[in-house]
This record gives sequence, structure tokens and C-alpha cells, in this order.
Amino acid sequence: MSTEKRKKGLPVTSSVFAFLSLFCYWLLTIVSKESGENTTLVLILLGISFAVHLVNVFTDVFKIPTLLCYAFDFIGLFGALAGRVSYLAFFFCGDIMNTGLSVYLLSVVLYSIISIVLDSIQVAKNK
Amino acid sequence: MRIFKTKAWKCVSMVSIALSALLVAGTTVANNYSPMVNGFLGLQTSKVVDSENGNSQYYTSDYANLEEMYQNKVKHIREEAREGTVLLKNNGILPLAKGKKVGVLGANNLMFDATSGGGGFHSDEVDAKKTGLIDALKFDGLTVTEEKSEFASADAVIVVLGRHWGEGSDMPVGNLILTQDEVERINTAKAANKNMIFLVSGDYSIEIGAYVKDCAAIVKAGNMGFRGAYGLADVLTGVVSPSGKLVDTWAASSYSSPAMENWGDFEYANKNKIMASQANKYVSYNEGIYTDYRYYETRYEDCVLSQGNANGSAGVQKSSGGWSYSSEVLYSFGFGLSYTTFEKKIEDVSFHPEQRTATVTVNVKNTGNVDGKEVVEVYAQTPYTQYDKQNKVEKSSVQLVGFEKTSTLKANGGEETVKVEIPMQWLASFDYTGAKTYIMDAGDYYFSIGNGAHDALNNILEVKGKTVANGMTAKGNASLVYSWKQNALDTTTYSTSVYTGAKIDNRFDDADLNYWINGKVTYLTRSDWQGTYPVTVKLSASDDMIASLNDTKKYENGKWNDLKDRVKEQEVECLELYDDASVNSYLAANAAENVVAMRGKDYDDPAWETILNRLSIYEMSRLVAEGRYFINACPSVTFAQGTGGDGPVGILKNYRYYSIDQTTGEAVELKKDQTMQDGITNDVVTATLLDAGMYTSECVLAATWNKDLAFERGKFIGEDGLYTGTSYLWGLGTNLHRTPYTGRMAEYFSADGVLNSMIGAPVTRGSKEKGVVLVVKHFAGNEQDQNRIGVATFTNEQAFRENYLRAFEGIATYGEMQGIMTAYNRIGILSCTAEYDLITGVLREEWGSTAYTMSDLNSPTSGLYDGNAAIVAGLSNFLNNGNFNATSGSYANCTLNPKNIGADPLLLAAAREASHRILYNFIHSNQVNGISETSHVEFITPWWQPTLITLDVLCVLAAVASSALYVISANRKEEN
Repeated sequence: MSTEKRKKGLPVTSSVFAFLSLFCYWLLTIVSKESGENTTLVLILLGISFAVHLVNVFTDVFKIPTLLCYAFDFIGLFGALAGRVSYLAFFFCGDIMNTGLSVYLLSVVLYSIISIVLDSIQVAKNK
Repeated sequence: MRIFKTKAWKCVSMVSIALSALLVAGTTVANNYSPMVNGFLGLQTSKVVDSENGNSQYYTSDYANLEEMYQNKVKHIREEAREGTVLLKNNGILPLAKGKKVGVLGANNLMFDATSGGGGFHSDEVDAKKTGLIDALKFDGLTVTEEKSEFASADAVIVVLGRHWGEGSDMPVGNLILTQDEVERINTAKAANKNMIFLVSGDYSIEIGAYVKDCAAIVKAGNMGFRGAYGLADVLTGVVSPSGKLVDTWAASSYSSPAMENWGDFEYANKNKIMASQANKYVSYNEGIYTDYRYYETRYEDCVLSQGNANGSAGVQKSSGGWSYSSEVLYSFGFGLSYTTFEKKIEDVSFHPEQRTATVTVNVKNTGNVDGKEVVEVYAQTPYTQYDKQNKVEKSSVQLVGFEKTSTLKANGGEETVKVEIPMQWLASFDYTGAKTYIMDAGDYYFSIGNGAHDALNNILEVKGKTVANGMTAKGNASLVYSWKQNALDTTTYSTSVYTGAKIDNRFDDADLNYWINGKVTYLTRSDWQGTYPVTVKLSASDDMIASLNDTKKYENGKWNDLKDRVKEQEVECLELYDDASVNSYLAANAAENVVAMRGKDYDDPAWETILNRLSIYEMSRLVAEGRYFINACPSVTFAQGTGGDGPVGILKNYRYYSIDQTTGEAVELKKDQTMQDGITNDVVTATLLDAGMYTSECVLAATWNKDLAFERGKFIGEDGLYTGTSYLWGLGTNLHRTPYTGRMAEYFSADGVLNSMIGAPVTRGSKEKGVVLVVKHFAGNEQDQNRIGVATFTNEQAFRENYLRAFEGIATYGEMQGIMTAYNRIGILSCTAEYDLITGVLREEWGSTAYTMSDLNSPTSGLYDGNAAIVAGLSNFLNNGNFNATSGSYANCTLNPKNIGADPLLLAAAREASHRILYNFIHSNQVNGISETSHVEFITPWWQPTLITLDVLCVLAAVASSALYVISANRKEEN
């Protein structure tokens, strides 16, 4: 593998997961009307996250894009979770509310965490 | 000197970025769920200032301190257990006198705890300190052994069989059949000792039919509570004579109830067309009115009268050949034995047409050798006529219409005359197809006194000239029957409410599945038991049903024009203030009203206008929207915040105060590890670890049939409220035991609406007297816990009114009920929480109740019901976790937001009315203790809110700064 490809490997991969987070969150807003967060705001934040990831594929000028990718990974994840914490509460309380965890929410969490890991590696690799 | 260390700043920036995101999101969550956070931390969001405690303790304890109260409370629990223990069979082995030796098999099957999910769980201390069977029997002087080798030398062996379930699901069908382990236990006992005593513990009717003949005695003891085992032991040892009566029919087979054919998990076949959440499930009450004894006794009568194909094979479980009562039923509803005998005589029956009541006067004499109490149960039979058959009006052969319990009657002649008041509207039948109101048929009517429904019915059959030769199980006693004739069908007298005078019409046509799909359901009718025995309903929702289920925004879509027509939109005056700061600021310049001055005044007193006009929109929002942890403060009317608790067996909170001064209200907090002595033994318990929920189950209380004991329970709940600092309790479950597998059996009184009503009413009155608002639940049609959230309960209106609503009626009216919780389910398609005909039509217009209504725990944004429609329909308060004032997310779009309430005149009027109900009921609670004429109330910001915001700011600044320093240092490094 060439050095050029190695450089793009992580940014491209993490941007894919950033996109998947955005897509799954969008699906979540369609199937579930119950939210404590501002869904439009979170969609925008996840959208910005994806946009920043795309920029990072092409350039990491002043090391800022990788840092922004990392930051928006967290912002998007916690923004989505903030309004959905009721799912977790009911789930861990034995589901007496007959409410299950949404697969879309779980996907958002999973993809965001992967993206965080990949972006953490990128930031760590920057000298 | 290297000022910028790139790696260090990189680490700091990564950590602070992550922490900032987490903190900011966490702050949002905490604010969205601020009631939950405050509740968890025990924080108030308001405070009473400058309170003069003189003469402002409206509710005080009857006891000097918690220890004295606790000692009396445990004695009361012992009394509940004594009188709620039911003796069903006894060949003379009981009572076991002091000094006797008894073997016990399965002592740990004694059921103690009637709480379940929603009621929380006891602390380890409570669990560890509860009294078990062995200790209680020893306390009463028995020698007890669990060693099987010693059973042969014992005077008797007690085999303990127990069952308990709880909230959130129903007991799995089949669980009432004896397990292999239980059978082995029985066989072990039987082999060792001929005097085997069954002790069936818990509130379920285990299938013991095959072994009834083998045992010397059978005792039914429900969930005993903390010290109830002492009461049970008192019965077993003869300290007191048993006086409990069954609250359910004990069938030989737990499958034999016709309701079992439609019990469990049913899903629409075309559920993929239903988009709304929690809308896919249904259950159909095809048995109509014929649940529990209404089924067994009515079918029995029809067997004796040889009518209605009653002795057909449909529904047979234990009979061989056709249906036979004696094969299908072990013990009837209301049955219970004593160690003594009683003679009863009807002395007088008088009717009071203006009040629409009757009084049955009965003399009870103790003709045996032991002191004892007896219950006088009055049943009624109304005629089943041709009109009824043509109009699908069903008639139970007997129905409980009233009861009283004597005091202890001395042996050998002690006697007492009791008067049983009968609300005559309970004899009327709801004719939902013909007259569409309550009717009284022409024909023969009977009052009958009996030891249970079956005994009372046999007395009536005796009067009708029937004998054992006709299939009666025993000869009846005609002298215990009073009969009279009604000459003509009456569709007028009971067509108006006896409480309010309001006209009573059909309200729940759409709760009947036949309304949506014509002919879908054939209800069980006594005119043809065989042909109409229920079958399991398999259902595809019709297009209309689907459209209605999917219409979750009923209010906004304007499809509820009829609702808006029924609710008067009115111009209301209020303070147009939308946050706590503006309320505080307003009150700094203007005097508050004092709502406590309205204590003792009627709900409709004109002076309420002054109070309600002073409420701000912000305060109304808080009252209406947040009901889970608090009843919120309203400073503009000097109304302080109160906290509540959960559980049909009491307030499941630790006690907080040791003593409360009756004059000043000054409370002495419990010290950590403070101990108290028990009221029955010398046992010592740690006061700070005890909780207030230690009573016997509701079934045990109902099994006492003792209204005075029920009143005492209510008063002790009030005492608990004082010592825990609690002003309300989601406390009284009164749904019916529709089948033997009801999940929350222990938390609902019985299978009969009148018994529920007349035992529940004194509890709410007692609690009201001592200052705790007792919220009754779940209103209505919530007989199964499976799929309870959103399940569509389909039933005809006769069954709904005469069975399921009746369970609430007496509590709402005679019980002066102050609060009621709607059920999770739908009645028909519509959620109970937003069902106008239920929470306004029946509750207010027909019953005249001034109670406040609250939802069960479910967000109004969940789609189960339209929160705005619920408020307009008459709901007062949501049992909601979230923050009403959230301006983001879905909360922003529903009732909870004060801006929305203020912008909609109909919502504003509804919220004002809701606030009226809440204030009216809570000024008659201990929540107003300490509020005097010179008090005022202020909102306060909980400490964690500004703390979190400060942390957020600091963390974000740190993230930005460290990131900038990292970027600068990294790029400088590169340049270098």
C-alpha cells in the first residue's frame, strides 16, 4: 500500500461511519416521534460532522480537520443520546414500559463510537 | 523553555472535548428530566417562607412519635391478617391449642410482600425483619418442627403452598397447577400424618381440588405483610376465631372461567397497517358480565332450573359429562368458616325511594362455644325476563349488594343487629341496546343472606321450590330470603344518576367490538350457555379502527370536533407569566392569594374564581405537567410543593421523622440507626431503614370484609404520610380479578365491583382524614398486565359499567375519593387517559367526583394518547418524568409547554380547571401543613442547575483553549 493510500485510509473510513451515523439517526427520526432532543439540530450537527470528515479526507490543514472530526463525533453522539436516554432507562428497568431499544439508535451509537476510535487514532498519529 | 508541549495539549484537548460534549449533553438531559433529578436528590423547587406554625398544623399524628405509631400499626397489620385469613375446611383439627406440636413443610412459601414493580421493593431491613410462619407459630405457643422424621409424632402437619406474581405481566397460564415439588410435599405430609392442613398462601387460588378430601383443614392466607404472620398464627391457634371470607371463587380448574378464552396476548392480524406505537394489541371481554361467581352461580341456577343449556359441555373442565357446579367449584365467593356457629335472622327490610336505597336489618347470634365475628353478606337476585333476552341484558343469578361485619360476639348467645345499607341502583341493569340506560325489570326480586354467593343462591332456590333432587348442592334456608315484586319495567328511575341527577345514556358504544365490526362478538348469554360460550377472538382491525388508531394527534388534526363541542371554551383570567423568575418578580410587588383559606369550602364556591384568576400560566403548566415526583408549588396562591409515593400496600419510602410537634409542626428527624421496639414482640427494628409499605395485600384487607379495619388502614396511611413527609400515594388498585391469573392479584381487592367499592371507600376516607391524597387506580378496564400499555379493551357497556366501573364507583362517591389514575389501556380504540366519557362523563357528570385525575407513567408525546386532548377531556395531571418547560424536542410541541397552553384558549381553560381540581384536593392534605396567613412561597433553583452550567462553560473554555494551544504548538513544531 502506498503512503498516499495509508494517509487516506483512516479519514475515508471514519467519514463512512460518520455518514452511517447521520443516516441511521435520520431513519430514527422517521420511525420514532418521541425525543427529548431537538432532532433538527442533531441532524445538522451530524451533517456538519460528515462534512468535516469529508474535508479531512482531502486535507488536514493546521491539524484542525482531524480535531474537528473528533469533536463533532462526540457532539453528534451525545446530541442524539441526550434525547433518547429514556430508552435506556426503561430497558435497564426491566422493560416494564414495554419499550424496546431502537435498532437505529443502537446503530447511531455503534457507528459513532467506531468513528471516534478512528478519529482518535488520527489525532494521536498527528505529530 | 518549551512552553507548548504538543503532546500534552493534544491529550488535554481530546479529553476536554469529550468531556465538554458529555457535560453539555448531560446538562440537557438533566434539565429535560429535572423533576426526576430533583426527586432523586430529594430537592425542593420551592420553599415556604416566614411560616407561622401556630394553628397551621391541619393534620397531626394521633401518636406521640413514630415508635408509638409503628407499634400500633403493626398491631393493626396483625388484625388485618387475623380477620383476612379464611378457613375453608376444618374437621376439628383447628384450632391447634397452645402446647401442641406441628410439623411445617414449605414455611418459606408464606407470601409476605404484595408489592411489585410499580410499587417498588422493600429495603433489606424490612425483608430481613418480616415475621415468618415458624416464628409466629412459636410465638403463639406451638412446638414447631420442619424435620420430616418428626411429622408422625406431631399433632398436625401444615403444608404451605404459595403463589405470587406482580406488575408488568400476568402469571403464566398453568402456574396455578401444583408443581411436582408441591405434590411431593403433600404426599410426604399425607404419609406421615393423617392431620394434614393446607395453608394456601398468596392471593391466588391454587388448584388443590384433587387433595381436598385428603386434608383435615384448608386455610387461605393472602400476602401477609410485615407482621401479618402473627395474625395468621392467631387464627391457627385459636387466639381468635377465623372470620375471613373468600374474595374470589375458588374453582377446581384455573382454566374454567369463560374469560380465559380471551386472556393473554392478542395482536391484530393486519398490525402492519397500524403506524401508531403501542396500538397493535387487543383483548375482548366476550364473557360479558359473567366473570367469577356471576358465571359459576348463574350457570348453576340455570342447571337447577333446567334452562339455557346450562348443563352442556361448553366450558367443562372438571365435570364428567355436562357442566356440574360441584365439580367445577371448590369454594364459592364470600365463603368462609369459623370456629363457632352463627344464626342469622332478617328482622326488617325497608326501602327509601327518595334516596334510592334499602336497609336490610339482620340479627346475628353466636350459637357456638367460641367468641367470633361474622360477616352479613346481602345478595340480590333480579328477574331475567323476556325483555332482557330480546335486548341482550344479562342477569347474574346473585350479586353482592351490601355487607357488614359484626363486632366480636360472645360465645353461647352473644348477638348483634346490623343494618346493611343497599344502594338500589346496584340492582339496576344497564340496557345498552334497548333503553340505553339503567332499568329495573318487572318480576320477582330477592334479597338473600348467605355464607357466600352460593349459599345465598341456594336460599333463593329454596324459596323457588327447588331441592337437591333438582340438582341443588345443598338445601337452602328460605327464612334468609326477602322477596318483593316489581309490577312493571322501569326505565326511568335509574336513568338518572343518584349522585348528581345527570341523565345516564350509553357512552361506550365504541368500546364494543361489534360497533366496529358488526357481529364480530357473540357475548355469553345465560339464555344459551352452550351456544354462546366464548371463543378466542382473532381479529383484523377494520379500516375505521386503523384510521382511529393511527390518528395520534387527534387534537391538532381537529378530528375531535365533538370533544371540543362538549368542552366549553371560556374566557379565563390568569397571570400571563411564563417562567419562575417572572412569577417571583411579580410576587415581590404584589401580594399572593392564599388558597389554604379555601379549605372546607365547596368545589364550586365562587371564591375559587379569585384564587384561579391569580394563577400564572407557568404555575398551571407545572401543576398539570409534572406529576411523577411532586405536586408543584404555586407561589401566587401560597401553595407549597408536595411529594408522593407509590404502592397499594403503602408508601414505599423510609420514614423520615421521629416526632412532629402538633402545634408548631417542628419535626425531629430520625437519627441514623435509631431503633424502635415492636408492638407485638420485644423485637427491635432500625427506624431509618423501615419503609411505610408493610401492610397486608389488598386481597387480605378485602377478605376481612371489615369496613372499620379498612378505615383504620386508611388512617395509618395518613400517619405514614406525616412521618415520611408524603402528601399523596398512588395507592389503591381496584381493577377486578377477571381471571385467576391476574398479574397484580395482590394489588386489586377482589373479583367483585361492590366488594372493591365498599372496602376501598373507607380506606380513602381514612386516608383523607389524616391528610394523604390516596389515588385510586387504574381507571378503567385494566384487568390484565400483559400488553397493558395500549391494549384495546373491548367490552359491552353493561359489563363495563356493572363490573369494571362499579369497582371504582363506590370509592369515588361514598369514599370521597381525592385522586384517580387512568389506566394504560384503551377502552375500545381510545386511550383511557384521553377518554372524555370516562374521565369527565362518568367520573364527573354521573358520579359527581371532584377528584383530580392523573395519567399513568407514560409520556404524553409517546403516541398512546394526545396530551392536549387528554387535558381537554378532563385529565388533571400527567405522571411524567420530563420537564414540562422543555423548549426542544417533542415536549415543546405538546401540552407541557406553558407557551402552548397560553396560546390556546381551550387548553388554557382546561389547564385552569385541572389546576382547580389539584388545588382543591391538595389543600385537603398534609401538603398545607405549616402554611398560615403570613406564609408565602417562593420558587428556588436547585443547586445542581447553575453548577452544571458553570461546569459546562468551564469545560468548553478548556476544550477551546487547549485545542487552540495544541494546534498552535503542533504547527510551530512543524515549522521548526
